[in-house]
Order: sequence, then structure tokens, then C-alpha cells
Amino acid sequence: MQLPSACCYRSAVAVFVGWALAAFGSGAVLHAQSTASVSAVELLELEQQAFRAAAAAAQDVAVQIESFGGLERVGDELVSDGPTTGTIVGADGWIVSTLYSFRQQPASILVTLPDGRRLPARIVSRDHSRELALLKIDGVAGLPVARPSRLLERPDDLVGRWAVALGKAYDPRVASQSVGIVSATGRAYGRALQTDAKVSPINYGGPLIDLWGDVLGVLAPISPGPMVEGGDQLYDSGIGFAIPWTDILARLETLQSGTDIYPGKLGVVTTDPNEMAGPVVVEGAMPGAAAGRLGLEPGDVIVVAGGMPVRRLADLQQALGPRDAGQELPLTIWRRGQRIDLQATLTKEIPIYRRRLVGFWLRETDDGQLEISAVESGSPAEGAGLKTGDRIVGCNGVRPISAERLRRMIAVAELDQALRLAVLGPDGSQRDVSVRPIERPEALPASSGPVLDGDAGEPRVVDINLGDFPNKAYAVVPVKRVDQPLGVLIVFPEPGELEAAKTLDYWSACVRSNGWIVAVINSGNRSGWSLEEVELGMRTLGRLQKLYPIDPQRVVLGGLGIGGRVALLAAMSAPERVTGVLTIQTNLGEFAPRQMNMPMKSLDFLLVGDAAQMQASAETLRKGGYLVTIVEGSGGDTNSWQAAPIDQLQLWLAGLARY
Amino acid sequence: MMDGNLDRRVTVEVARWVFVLRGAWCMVVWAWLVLAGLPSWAEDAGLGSANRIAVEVELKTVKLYGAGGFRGLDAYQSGFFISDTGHILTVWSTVLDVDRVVAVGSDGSRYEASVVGIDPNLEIAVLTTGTRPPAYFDLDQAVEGQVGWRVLAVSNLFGIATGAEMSSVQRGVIMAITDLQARRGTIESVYRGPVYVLDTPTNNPGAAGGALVDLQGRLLGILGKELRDTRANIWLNYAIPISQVRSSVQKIMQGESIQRLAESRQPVDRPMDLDALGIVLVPDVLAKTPPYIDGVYPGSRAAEVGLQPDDLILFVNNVRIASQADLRDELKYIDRADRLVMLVQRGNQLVEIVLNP
Repeated sequence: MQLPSACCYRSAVAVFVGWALAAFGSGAVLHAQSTASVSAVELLELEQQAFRAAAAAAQDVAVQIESFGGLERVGDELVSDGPTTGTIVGADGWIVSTLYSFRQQPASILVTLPDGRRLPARIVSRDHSRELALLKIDGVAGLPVARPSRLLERPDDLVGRWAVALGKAYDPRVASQSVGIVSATGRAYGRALQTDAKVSPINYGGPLIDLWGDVLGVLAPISPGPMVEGGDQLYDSGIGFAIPWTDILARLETLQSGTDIYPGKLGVVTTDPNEMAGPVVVEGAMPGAAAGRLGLEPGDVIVVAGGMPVRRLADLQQALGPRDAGQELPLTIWRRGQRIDLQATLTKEIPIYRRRLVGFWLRETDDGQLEISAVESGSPAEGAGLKTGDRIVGCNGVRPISAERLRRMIAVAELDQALRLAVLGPDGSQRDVSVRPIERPEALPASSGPVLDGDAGEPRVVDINLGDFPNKAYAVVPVKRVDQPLGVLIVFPEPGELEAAKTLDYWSACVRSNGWIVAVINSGNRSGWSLEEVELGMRTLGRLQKLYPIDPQRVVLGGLGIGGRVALLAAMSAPERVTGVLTIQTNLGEFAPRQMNMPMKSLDFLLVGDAAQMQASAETLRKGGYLVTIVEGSGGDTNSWQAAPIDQLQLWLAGLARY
Repeated sequence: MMDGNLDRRVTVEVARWVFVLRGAWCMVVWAWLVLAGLPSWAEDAGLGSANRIAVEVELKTVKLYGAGGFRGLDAYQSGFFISDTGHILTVWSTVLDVDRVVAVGSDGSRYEASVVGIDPNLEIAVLTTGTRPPAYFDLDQAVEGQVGWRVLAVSNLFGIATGAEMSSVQRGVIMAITDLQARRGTIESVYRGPVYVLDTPTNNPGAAGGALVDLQGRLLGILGKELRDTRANIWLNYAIPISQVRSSVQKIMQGESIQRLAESRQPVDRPMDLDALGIVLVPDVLAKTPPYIDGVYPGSRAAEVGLQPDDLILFVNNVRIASQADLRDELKYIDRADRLVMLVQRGNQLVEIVLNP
């Protein structure tokens, strides 16, 4: 730690005098003094008195909670079953705690009041957005109820304020105390305060109080965002969270009625799925979501959400974060130069998204038109009479249309509504074709799609420079320049080295005639892959994109053996840039994708290996809406291509580019 | 962490400034004006700083170097002087498995220390250098801390200080005072008495044996070895109160040897038996099957005291029972001739059941 430096003293004194006055004025336990003489030690002593006085005033609103029986593990993690803490929210026995305390689904829950009374409790409802549980104990009255801190009325003035975290895990009578400050507000998408007081299983569910002894919030192991693992992993990091007490009080009636609360979902699909992308332009709605009923149109720009300006997608997420399912979210949009106010009712669930399929391949002609280069047999496209050589010039009234726009329209199409395509035949005749997309089947495509115009020549191997990483990487590339964009497969092999000769041998036909680049990143350390190396997937893609025209629909991350896990992580970290994941003889083990399948962020999986062994992983992925195809394959050591049947692999790769 | 340039000037007592308190804002502005005008005064006063205390305590602590380095064991720990003849209090560990332990003071002075004696029950050791230290803690002057006290922990955690560098000073508060005995089965520690639980990560490699003081520099406790609280699933940052070790240290210094006490709790010869009581539990199929009563033999002791099917046993003689395994384990320590008090949950009621011998 660092002791305050001399230059800080003056401001420290000013701050101290400010809060000391506040404490005296509030009637907290400190003795009022008409004069204050401040020596180094006295200052520290006075602060200590203020902390302890606040804790003493507030500690009776915290209760000890014990759980009995239940699961030993949740997922991979051994569940601790020690006592936890709750905060009294209603004088007749209402108590708030965190869901974390009840993960093991205990057979019984006991609450011990500060006076030593021990009473059975039941869970009345759960707030899944804030990870809280509301408990009830019966036969009590007149319990002390936590008051909301007046500081909560001025969120701008919260950061830097003293805060004391109270817990009852050690003792139902005397609260444990950890002193810190409020570090930030509006964390976890506007749902939590952040503090540097020590927050751990010892005080989860307990109150975070101010120096008046009033409650700022309830300490909770909430997940702060998609990039950081939440829960108790943060407990020694100087980062702790508390759900603002006023947010809990605002939902108390709902929770008391036994109604569970869920995060509210809007289900809007924007043109750019990147969080930092702006302005936020609507492409459509997740099929079946609130945004669809709202009448949002493609091209609408969301400019205000919940009264806050929206410049990037992250602003919209910040507005959504604190809102529950069933709550309203006022939106302001720009549509063709007009400002329109809308009121969205957020929903609990959005139906799991599954990728759509019409069933043709497109190529861009020299004059920039979209020409069908192949039609899949048995697909809706074939049924609608689309033929190779037809050109698509418009869709649903949008004309002319780009390949990307068409893809987005198909991605968010409702299954019961036909797309209206404007088609130009090879003879110049125009016609309208209605085609209804289907959910993409898991079976490999019935045909292998178009082949490359002309011969790309015998492939060769080039080295890829990965900058400051020591990893050796290479790519098998077509020797001649081709006009059409190429697909790219980036492979993480087993730790060690996968020789270029082997890769060249296996892939040369595919590179030559189907227009693929196959890149291999060898591990930096022979003994294993590290988490930092996951980013090499995107770095390699970036390098290749500078050198070759890459088809955004054919970007695949692959892995051999354990490398398949690295590929999966790399793909999940950038689903908007990747379309497929290929694993060969990889045991994906137990994992849960952190995000569901989304339009324009879809991933198709091909798992090659022992089908029986991969069933569980495949099921997990399917539940998230991902398309999983399993191909039986084995043999050879896990760091070779031998296990994978090249024909089926090529069919799957070709299928990725289908519309 | 601290560097070697810590300002060692002992700050003088601050000139007394009398503030007439009219209102918070007024006061803040006023204090700002006064202090802004007197920068040199403010710097000398060291207001809000624990500098003076930290320096005082530093001079009483030592960095200890001994055996280790194998199998990932650390070869260093912390300690502090406790007498004017050079006694050092520290924790008993493999670091001390050498003839001569090297002790380095914060002023860079180097001593060779030998082990005077140990207390295997407290896992502490007393060493001596045989020479007068620059400063020391008088154990008789140590005080009892309370929950919420602000404290400084002074230790060489992670061995970060070497040579004449000072140990590291960490600040925190006494978060709780708890009995390790009450957390039996969750913490692997020989010591079972009360500890100060701290809200800052003090217990790291090398920190054991460091001093815990309050903000007046008064000794409160000795930092313990690293311990994990398995029930809460976290590392425990703690210190053992001096009141727990004082008499033992005196005995060691007087040359008495302290024997390892037998584990206070021993399984009994004729333990309580569920079957004999007439209790049948639900089938034990999970790692933590709750001890629900499935049936009670008619005419048995259990039936006599009113136990019923579907009762859930929560406590036995005030020990928390989280599973059937816990219950069987606890009963091993209760003799059939002992009084047994059970707290059971029946529906939404808690019922106390007493089985007298």
C-alpha cells in the first residue's frame, strides 16, 4: 500500500472536516465538538470512530443466513456452504440476499437475527437481473429496516465517498466491517455500485453503508459485463459490487408478490454488432422479439434510449441494463429525416435464434451485380425456381441491393414471411420471386457449390509474421491472384509444431479449386496454449485481410486436438468476424457459451471425432442456437489432418457461403 | 509497497488550530484557505498520515531468512523484537529448520538468531539474537483490538524487501474477530483460538510472523500462516491476538518446553448410534444428502421424544449439520451416555429435541 503523500494532506483535511461535520450533524454516535483540533493520530482516530459508529448504527439490519444440504458442486465449482448474509428490507420478516448464497439449492435455509433468534426462511422470489433473492421469515414484527442512503439521491456525488461493507457470516450479532470508498456508479450496465471495500462470500448479501449508517446497496457478486467473469472470482481484486438500495426498494412490491424479475430484452439487430459502433442503425429485429412488434424498420437510427443519448451500441446496452422484463424503454429514432418516439415493452426471453437458409451461392459480377453461381438442390431457392445465372437486383423493395444487405435481410427474416426478390434472368427478363427462408439444417449441403473460375495454380506456403508473439505461423495460399474473395481457415494445432508439408499435402486441392487459404498458428510454448494466444486468431485474420481479398462469409477458426478449444475461444471472442468453427478430435469438455447465437454473429460448428464423445458439447451449443454438424472421424495422432475426411470437410466449408 | 526513502522524521505535535464550526461548506472552504496558505506547516504535520507509527513499528520488525527453497517452500518470513535482549517472536515453520536464522532489521542491521523454543499448539517460535535491538515491542503493553479498528500490518510479504529496505506496511481494519474453533473442519490449522480477521490481503508468503498494530502503534497481534477458509472458499487474512500467545512466550523465554496438546476432541468409545435411537434417514444418495428422517421405530427413544418422519436435522449440540455425512461424523464424538440436543425443522417450524441420558 501507499501512505498518503505530503501533498495530499491539505485536501485530506478538507475532506475529513466535511464528513466529520456531516457525522456530527446526523446525530451518529460521535460526540459533537464545537472545536476540532486535528493531529495526525487524532484524524485517523476520528475517522475510525466514524466508521465504527456507522457500523454500530447499521449492523442490526444485517442477518446471518445458513443453508443446509443441497448440491456439492455447481458446474465445475465446489460450492462453499458457509454462512452468508442478508439485509432486512421489511419489518415483518423480509430479507434480501444474493442468489449466490443459494446456488446449491439447499434443503433448508435458516436466518439468525441479531438478537440470536433462529428462524426458518423461504425464498419468495428472485431477481435474475441483479442476482438477488427475497426471503421471508414468519412470526416476526418490528425488525429494524435499512434506510436508503441520502447519497443515492445524487449519484454524481457518490464516487469517493466512504463506504463500509457489513457481513454476518462470522457472527450473527456483530457485523464484520471492511472500509473503502465508492469506486464507481452505473457498473454492470447500470445495475451496480462499485466499491474497494473487501467484498467476498463473508459479506455477500450484506449492506454497504455510508457514514450515517444508511444503506447504499446490497453486496453482490454480480457479473460486471460480457468481458469479465463475474461472481466470486473478483473477491481479492479491489473490485466489489453493490446493488443500489433504492433499486431494490423500487422492486420490493413485485418481489414480495412472488414474481421473479428478469433482465429486459429488446432484441433489436443493428447493422454493426460491434459494441463501440455508432450510429446505431437498425437492420431488423430478432425474430419473435419486442423490437419486431415495435415497428422498427431497417435503416431507422436509434438516437435516444431511456432519456439518454445513444451514440454507440454500448449506450443502448447501458440503457437496457437496469430495466427489467415487462418494463418500458422509451426510444427515439430518426426515420427518413423524422424524429419518432416509440415505447418498447421489454421481454424476458427472446426465442433462441437459428440461422436462416434460402439455398443459393452468389458471386459478384464485374459490373457489381449479384449473380447466382449455384443453387442447392432441395432448397427453398430451388423450389422457388431460382437458377444459376439469375441476378438478384432487389429484395423487399430495396433496390439496388448489396450482398451484405441481402445477407442481413435473410438473417433476420421471419420464417413465416417470404422474401420478395427482384430477379434478372440471363436473357435480361425481369421477374419477382417469393422465397421463404428455412432454419438452416445441420446436414451437410447437398452440393458443394460453385468452383473457382480458372485454376489458382499449385498452392505454396508463406510465413505469417505475428509481431511480438514468438509463435511460428504459416499459410497455404493460392499462387495466382484470383478475382474472387477467398475463404480463410485459421488453425490452432496441438501444442508443438504442425509441419507446413502436412498441411500443404492435405489442403492443396481445396486451396487450388475452391478458393481457400489455410493458415496454421503453432503454439509459442511446446507444452501448451496460453490464454493470451487466443487473440492470435484475429491477428492472423487481420494480416491475411491486408494481403488477400477475404470473403467475410467464409472465415473459419479451426483446431486439432486441444487446439480446438483455443479456436472456440477465439471465435466466441469475435463472432462478428468469424462464421465457422472446426474442431478435429477435440474434447470440448464442459463449457457454456457466454453468448447466444445472434443474427450476423452466427457461428456454424463442425465437430470431427468420436461422435458419442462430442454429443454433450454439441447439445450445449445447440441450446444456444448454434448450428452443429458432427462428422465421425478418428485415427492417427491428434495433431494431424488424417482423422478428417476431406470430402465432407469441403462440403461443410462450401456450405458456409450459402445464402 | 514502501521504498527506502520513507520520511523518517518524527513529526512534532501539531500546532493546535481552533476551528469554529459554522457549516460544512464554510468549513471546508475555510480549511482549504488556511492550509493552502501554509504548505510547509501542512507537510510537517503529517496530517492523516500513519508515517510516524509506521516508522516506529518498522524499527521493531525483522526479515527472517532460513531454510527452504525446495518443493516450492519459501525460505523467508517475518518477525519482531519483543525484548531488550534481542528476543524475536515469529511463527514456527520450516524456515526455522536451520542452525542459524538470519534476521535483518529495517535499518539494515544483520543478526544471527537461534531458536529458543516453540509452542507447537500456537505454531509460534521465539528466537534470540543475544544483542540489544534498536527498538522492541513489550508484550505486556499489547492491547486487545476491536472490530472496526484501523490497523497496520508490517511484514515482509512476498520477500519484497531485501537488505536495508523496510518491510511492507499495509493498512486495513479488523473486519471481524472469530474463533477458528467454531470453524472446525473448514480450516486446517493447529491453532483453534480467536483471530482478528483483516480486510486486506496480509497473509501471503513471507508475511507470517509480521506485526499487527493499531494506529497508535500498539501491538495487537502476530500475522499467521496462510489459511484457506474452505467453507467460505476464500483465503483468510488474520492475526493471532497477543493475549493468546503472551503466557506461552514468557514460558519459552524462561526456558520451559511446551508440549503438543492432544486434540481436544476425540471420538468416543461408545458413540451415539442412529439405529439405536430408532432413526432411519432417507437414502444417502448425494454428496450432501440432507439428514431428513425417513422413519422412526415405534417405541424407540426417537419416538419417545417426538421425532417424526420428514423432520430435517439442522443442529446437533449446536454444531451445524449440513448433510448426512456431517451427522454421522458428529455423532462419533457424542457418547451414548451424553445429553443430546437436536434442532430439527418440521415444515416451517424449528423444534428442539432433547435426549437426556
